[in-house]
Amino acid sequence: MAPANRSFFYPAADVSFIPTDAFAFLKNSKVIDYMKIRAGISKVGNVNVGNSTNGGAYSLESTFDSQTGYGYGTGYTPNNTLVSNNLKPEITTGYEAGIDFRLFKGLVDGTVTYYNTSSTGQAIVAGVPITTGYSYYLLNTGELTNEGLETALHFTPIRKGDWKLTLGGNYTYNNNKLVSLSNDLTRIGVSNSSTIFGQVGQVYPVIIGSDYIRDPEGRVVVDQNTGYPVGKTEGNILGNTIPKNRLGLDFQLSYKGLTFSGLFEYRSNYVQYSTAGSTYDFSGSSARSAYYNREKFVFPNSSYYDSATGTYVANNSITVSDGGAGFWTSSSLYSSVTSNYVYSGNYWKLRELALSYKLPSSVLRNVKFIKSATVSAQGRNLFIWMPKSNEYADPDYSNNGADSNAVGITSLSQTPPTRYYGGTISLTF
Amino acid sequence: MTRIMKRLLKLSIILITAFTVQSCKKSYLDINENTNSATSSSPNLVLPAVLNNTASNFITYFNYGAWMAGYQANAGGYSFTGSTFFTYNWNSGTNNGLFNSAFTDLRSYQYIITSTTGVNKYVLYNAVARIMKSYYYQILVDEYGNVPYTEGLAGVDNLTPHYDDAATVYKSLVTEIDAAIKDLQTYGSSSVVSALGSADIVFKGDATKWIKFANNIKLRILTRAQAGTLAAYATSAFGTFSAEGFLTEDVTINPGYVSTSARQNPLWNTYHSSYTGSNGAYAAQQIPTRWIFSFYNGTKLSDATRGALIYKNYAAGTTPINQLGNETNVSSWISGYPAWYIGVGTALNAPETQGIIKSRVMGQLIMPAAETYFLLAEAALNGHTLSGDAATNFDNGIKASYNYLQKTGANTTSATTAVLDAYLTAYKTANTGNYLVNYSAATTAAQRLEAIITQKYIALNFVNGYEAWQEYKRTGYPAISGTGATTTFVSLQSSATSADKLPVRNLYPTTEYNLNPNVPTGLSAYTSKIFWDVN
Repeated sequence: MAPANRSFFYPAADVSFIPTDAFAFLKNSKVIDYMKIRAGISKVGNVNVGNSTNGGAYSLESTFDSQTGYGYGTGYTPNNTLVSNNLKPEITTGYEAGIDFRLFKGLVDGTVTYYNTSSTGQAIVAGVPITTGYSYYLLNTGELTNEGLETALHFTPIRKGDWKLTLGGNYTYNNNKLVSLSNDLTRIGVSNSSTIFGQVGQVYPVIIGSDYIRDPEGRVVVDQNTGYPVGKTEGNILGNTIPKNRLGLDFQLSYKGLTFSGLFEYRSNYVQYSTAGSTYDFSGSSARSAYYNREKFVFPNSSYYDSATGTYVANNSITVSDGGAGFWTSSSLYSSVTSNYVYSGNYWKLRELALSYKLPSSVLRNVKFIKSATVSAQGRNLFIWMPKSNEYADPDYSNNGADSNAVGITSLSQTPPTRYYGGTISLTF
Repeated sequence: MTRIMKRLLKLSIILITAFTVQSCKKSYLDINENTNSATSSSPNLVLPAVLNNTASNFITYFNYGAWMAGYQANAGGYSFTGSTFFTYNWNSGTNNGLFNSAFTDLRSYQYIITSTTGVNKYVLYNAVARIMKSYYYQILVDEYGNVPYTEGLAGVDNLTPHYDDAATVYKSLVTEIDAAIKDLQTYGSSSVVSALGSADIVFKGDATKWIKFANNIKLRILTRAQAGTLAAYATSAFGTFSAEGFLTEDVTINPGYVSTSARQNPLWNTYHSSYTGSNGAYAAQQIPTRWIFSFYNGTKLSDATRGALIYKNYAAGTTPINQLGNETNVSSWISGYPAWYIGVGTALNAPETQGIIKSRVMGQLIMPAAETYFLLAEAALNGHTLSGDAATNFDNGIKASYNYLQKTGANTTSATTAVLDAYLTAYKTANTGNYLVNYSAATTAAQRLEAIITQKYIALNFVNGYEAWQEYKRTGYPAISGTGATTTFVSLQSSATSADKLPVRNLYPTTEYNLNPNVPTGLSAYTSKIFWDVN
């Protein structure tokens, strides 16, 4: 890094206050058992400019590619990646505030946390237009904010004798936003992706791609004669790829040593992009390519321009000229339009069910060397409920790998999450 | 006493420590030395590498042009279903290589220009880079129209460059070439500046040849600009060519290709075989069109000599041919023999020979002498006195085309005048009365232009289809009609809505739309013509 950017300062502070200890009238309260109010503020610095494939800490300067073995000896051409000559450490400042509480002698407990962090200068390799002469740019991105709420609430309606039932849930709201970029950029490809972008002023990250030309009501404009969409536009923002809402619901029912528990998850307000979709359509193996029996059909939710009245008229009768291979394999009519393959990532999932039995100590009394024994069976990813628009796959898996920032793409080339069942016997000696 | 000693000792340790830290700070905290790649270079190391890349990327334009101009069609045994060379169903994802390859090489040329501007020592490198930049920008403008020129190639200094008007870019290219020529004239034989020397893998450091080649490029630009908004400008600019004249030799880039490693001539490597003997990417899946055959086999013109120099088994009549877009009963390639290789022997046993695909180590032809002659012929036809009259240049163009084909990979000496004249005479006799061969038989200016462009089209057959395609767009020659295999080169599966069922331009790549808000929008591949395309 440039000499001026080689040191940084990162302080942090946390405070908490426990009213149930501080105030006598709360100490004896029959409603509130425990309460804690907390707040924290922190600033963290981080230098993260490269990885093992692009040269890691060596990637602080632009490089040249070499050619050898020709008549003129060794030659060099500038590499396609620009490197900012003023790379800075990434600084994340954040504050959070929350409250933890337990009520009615442990019948209810919960926690609420609000957080707001702002990262400036995250070092990323951004895509840049080739007309600059280059394809990528390693730079500090600007400011990315992350705001959200984390809540959890559990209560125990039954706690009688050998029976105990706990129900609860947690809800998280998260909103990432790209506030600014450096160098007058308004848009960058995330981790070299040509589909997942950061757009200033928008949720981060977003899918950007082509979409049909639409009328002011959002209907696809079709040609009055051919019934085909009249065209497409490039560079449209088609949705954010990280769920804003996450909800988890869990329960635990126990009777003596027997415990039955489960966890449901819900995620919403985000989209995914399937790169495999066009392949399915091209080969005719997708369900959607057979909706209309490969016959002429009226393009759904479409309109045409009526030049006589100068308005867009809902299209209920003009069918596409060819509803078979001529339409579904055509890149300009269908398969190269990104928006056709962007789908809601919402789902409900039965994430886990488990049943366990802890052997009563009376059974083990004669086996001196075993102190306790538990037998359990569990299954994960048991069921998933997805909206109809998702014809592709479990949105939980990402083509670019779990550690890439460019989440939101699914493709043919990765294995989806699997459902699995397991059993456990644990013995304590 | 001991206390003082101790104090002194302590103090000195502190001093020494402070001093030591100070002195080693620079190396300790300095930037990590990149041990994997170079982080700086110099023009004499970049120039040969980028010229080499230019020769490699030439194949991108060559292959595109060979499809578009009717030189090649699909071979049997390969599925081309949905190919955009069949349907012309182009969008922002089609033919992106034409755009990206140019800007990739322009990055290197611009590096030379930027790093040597004002550095007198490297003025010759600067001039050559500017000529090559102009060469590439014309290629871009001819397919894309407006492109970033004044703000392009600026790296971090401008990450969203504006698009300049295509005609304005064209004029800037001429200005740039003129300035480069001036520098080459002034410093070409100077001992003060760094010579091009072996870094120049085109002309081996011959500055005069660079001047002449620059005039060739300028002539190509002005010829294209004759119609449309730059017509008046072009007419006057035709009078500004430098005294050195034009380069009437075959211009090749030869970085010293190697037959035994992945450093072969790119044309051979793509259309014949790799250095290990495996088939080149296009070797088996592309064969000549019936259309182009009609210029040799007597359907339109008779030219058995050049036909046999270009095509495998031409004389025997067994060269596989097809109409573009036809997918029934298509001939496969003659196993092991690309249609444009006339030697005997396959893969690693293929000897060097004459014709198009001559040798693994031949220089890559980027501008044949024939093209220059036909450009000069057209200039003369239009009243610009540059070098000789139209008829002489026309004949010289035909002879130069034959001359290139008769060369082998190793022996690049020209045929004797007697041999060339004999060929021309035989060609004219075989096509007696046909003005496309006998220039004097043409009676109107339109016929003369048709003859010049058609002969240029023949000379560019599997030499530079990209240029032939641009000239078709400009002039409409060679003339096409209907849907017959020898009356048109348009794909049978064309979905183009234009009158001749051909596209007029390519569309900017998706990545450019996604990343640069300044890209022109609302373009059609069938109607948004380049400014010089007025017919």
